[in-house]
Formats: sequence, structure tokens, C-alpha cells
Amino acid sequence: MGAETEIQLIAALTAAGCAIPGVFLVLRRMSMTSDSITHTILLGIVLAFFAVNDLSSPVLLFGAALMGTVTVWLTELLTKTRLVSEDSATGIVFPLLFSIAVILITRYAGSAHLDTDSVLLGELAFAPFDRMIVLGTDIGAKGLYISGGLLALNIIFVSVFFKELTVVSFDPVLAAVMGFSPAVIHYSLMTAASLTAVGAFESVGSVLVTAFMIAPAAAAYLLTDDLKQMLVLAVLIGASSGLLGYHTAMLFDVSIAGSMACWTGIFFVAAAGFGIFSGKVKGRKIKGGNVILKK
Amino acid sequence: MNDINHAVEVTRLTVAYDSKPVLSDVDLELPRGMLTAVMGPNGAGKTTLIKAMLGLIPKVEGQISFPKINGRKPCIGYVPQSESVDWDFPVSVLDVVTMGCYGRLGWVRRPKREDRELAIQMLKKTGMENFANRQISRLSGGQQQRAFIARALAQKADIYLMDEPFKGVDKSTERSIIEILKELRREGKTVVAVHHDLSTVSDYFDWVTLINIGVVANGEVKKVFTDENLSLTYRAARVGGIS
Repeated sequence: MGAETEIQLIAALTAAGCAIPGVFLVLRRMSMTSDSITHTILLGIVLAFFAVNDLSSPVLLFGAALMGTVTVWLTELLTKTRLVSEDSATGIVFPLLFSIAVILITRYAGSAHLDTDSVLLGELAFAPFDRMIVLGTDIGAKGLYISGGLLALNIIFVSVFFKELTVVSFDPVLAAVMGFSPAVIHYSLMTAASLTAVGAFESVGSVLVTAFMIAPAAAAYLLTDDLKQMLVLAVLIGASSGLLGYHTAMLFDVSIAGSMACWTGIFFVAAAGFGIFSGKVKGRKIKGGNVILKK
Repeated sequence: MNDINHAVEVTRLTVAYDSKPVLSDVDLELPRGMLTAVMGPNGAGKTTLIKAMLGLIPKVEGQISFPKINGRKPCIGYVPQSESVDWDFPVSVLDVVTMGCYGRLGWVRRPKREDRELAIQMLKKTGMENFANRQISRLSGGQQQRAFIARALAQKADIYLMDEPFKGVDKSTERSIIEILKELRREGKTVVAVHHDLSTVSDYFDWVTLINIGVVANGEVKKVFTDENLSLTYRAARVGGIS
């Protein structure tokens, strides 16, 4: 497989994988949580890196996922004190954890391949250089396996717990009465989102992961009234943004991740236009943002 | 009354938000197989009582129990206040009613064809079968309430707890809901509903619980639904409001 094909596949798989947990984040009005998680997982990666001293260790993945969940938990804890509102709690917790990570990287990991630039923006173009070697045989770029694995994980998670995710998001009280613990589902979703963010962040960096989680889901939300269709559409929009972004970047010789994120924005604007002209979004609140369209 | 005839037994229940008691020292026994109205002024703790019965909020003190029916634990159905669900969620009316079956299915198992069929049957019962594929925000208030009643019926519960089932619905929906509640009673089910309209209590309900932080009166409508008890319930609210 050529390097170009590998990059395109990684881009499409990463964006598709992000779109799945993104659908539930958008529906649960937690879009900015993804922004928070994608930053704080860096602290998890850094701490895990200090513990094992190996950048390719899977321990880093667990450290990151754990830190993502801890972020959500800390934010909820701070909100529950009623000292600050939920958005302020998010604004306090995640920059704090993220800044600790940045300080740790610049102070102690300067010599390792863990610099702030690659963390913030990622570098998809270099992905084909990192090979997956099994028993001495090169079986493709590592990024392919990571992005493919995370997409598969998300598909499995959402198909197995589709019923639970739906009822907990739609009517948490009924879910609790029926014995489906909203907290268990909530934190499982946060763990899935954190894991996905770690995988995505190697390719596209922590800043743009939010675009891949939220924009395809928000666009899909404007196109359909059916949750399953919304999931499929979000995945398709994500994957298309990945492919189109790659070609746009090649054409204009610009950042791949940036072009991909731009395409998710273009899809959203197109979906919003379709929604308004087809009359579907009339009087409906668009989640994940503050846009309210009224009749 | 014999213990076996109670659907719900509440003993010395106290619930507080931020150390302010919302329900204080509530002792209550509600009869099985009857329609019970829970009434009281705003802030009297009606919704809190329902939520405490469902185990959704922590108790400061006290016990709530549902005595066994024919040796098994009763199944509790619930109709929420319409504000508590996310109306913009991408689900159809049929999806919502099918959710009634989720409790029986348990974790991971998916709804099957018979669950969908039951849901459609319940939609027919509430006169909502023509709206099965509508997204739920595209319904009127009355239709939304019918959909939630259909979902509660799909739960096949023994005891139904309903938070203001008649709120925001039109007259014809109110009539069809009360017909459904009466049918549930004929099947031996228990319904406990938060209710506001004083004028319909005698027509709709068998039993009434008047609360205002504590229990003011609890008994058969014809015995306890008196002017004296009502003024005790609602006057205390004004005093409470000032203090």
C-alpha cells in the first residue's frame, strides 16, 4: 500500500471513529466536553510516559483514557459544589490539567519525541513512517491499525449498548427507574470518547479532534430524525471530510488536519442550509451550540 | 386495612435539598388496585414524593417499600413530567413507546419484534397509532402525553407512578387518559398520580393524599376530600411561603 493511500485511509478512519461518540456528545449537550477531554488526555499520556518511558507503550492509551474520565469527573465534582456553573467548571478544570501537561513536557520530555507542536496539531503526513512490524514483517502503518481499531471499538460499543445509550440520553429518569445506571453509561461513553481522542490526536492533534467529534454529528443531526441514520450519516460525513481534506491539502500544499477540519465545517454549513430550506429545523434547537432557529 | 392490600408503604420519610426539608416525617400507606391522587400546593413535595418512591433521590431518613404481589416484587411503571425528557432527541413515537419494554429486556438484549408489536398495540390503545413514525417534538402536548402513557402501558407494571399526567393536555386527551387509568384499575393495577385540578378529583380518583411537606390527610376521596382538609393543606402553603 502506498504512503498516500495509507494517509487517506488513516484520515477517513480517524474522522469516522470520532463521529460515533460525537453523536452522543452532541445529543447529550456535551460538545465542549470533547474539547476538554482532548486536551487533558495529554496529561494522562505524559504521566504514563514518565511511568513506562516508552512512547509506543499501550499504557499511554490507558493513562489518557483514565485522565479523560477523571476530567469529566472533576468537572462534575466542581459543578456540584455550586460554586461555579458547569461551563465555568469546564473552563477551570481542563486548562489546569492541560497546562500541567505542557509544563511537564517542556521541562522533562524535551529530548523525547513528545513536543507540544505535534501534540497540538498532529502530523498525518508522517504517519506512514511509523510502521507496524509483526514477527519481522511490515504489515502497514501503525496509524492504520490504531484508527481502524478505534473505529471498530466505537462501532461495537454503540451497537452493544445502543438501547442503553438511547434511553439514558433521552430520558435518564426512566433509565434509572429501569435499572440502567445513567452514571455507568455516562462514564463508559466518556471512556470511549477519551480513547478515540487519544488515537485521533496522534494524527490530527488535540485541537482539531473536537471538529471531528462534533461537526459531523451536528451536521447529521440536521439531516435526520432517526438516531441510527444520524450515526451512519455522521460516520459518512466524517470519512468524506477525511478524504476530501487530504486532497485539498495536497492541492494547496497546506495542513492535512486543518483541511479535514475545514471540510467538516463545510458539511455542517451545507447541512444547516438543507435543514433550513427543507423546513426540517424550523423551531428546533440545534444542540452543541447556541444557535436557535425559531419559526 | 390489611398489610397485603397496600401498594406502597412509606414510613417516617424525610427528604431535604440543601438541609431544607422538602418532605418531613411522611407516613403513608397507599391502597392496591386504586387510583390515588397526590395533591398539595406548589413546593409541597409531590414530585419529590414520587421520585423518592422511585428511589431517584437520597432520603435523609425513612423507608419506602412495595409489598410483594403474589410472592413477587411488583414492577413499577413511571410517567415523567413532560419537562424531564429531551424532546429534540432523534427518536420516533414508536421508539419511545418501545422503551417501555427495556426494563424487562435488561442490559444488552435488544427489543424484538414482539416488543415492537406490543408498542404498536399500546399506541392503538392511546389513539396514537397514526403517529408512530413521528419525531416526538412534532406532536402536540396532548399527543406527547398519550405517547408517554403508551410507554407506561408497555412497561406492563403493577404500580404506576405518574407526575401530573393531565398537565398541558386538551380535554379529549384528558378523558382518554382517565379511561385508560380506569381500565388499569379494572385489571387490578395501582395508579398514583400527582394531580392539580380540585374539580375532577371526585370523578377520577378513589383515594387522595393531601400533602404539604408532611401528610395532611390520606384516605378515600369521599372521606378525606373535605373543605376542611383542603384549607389545611393549602393554607399551610401560604404560611410556609412567608416564613
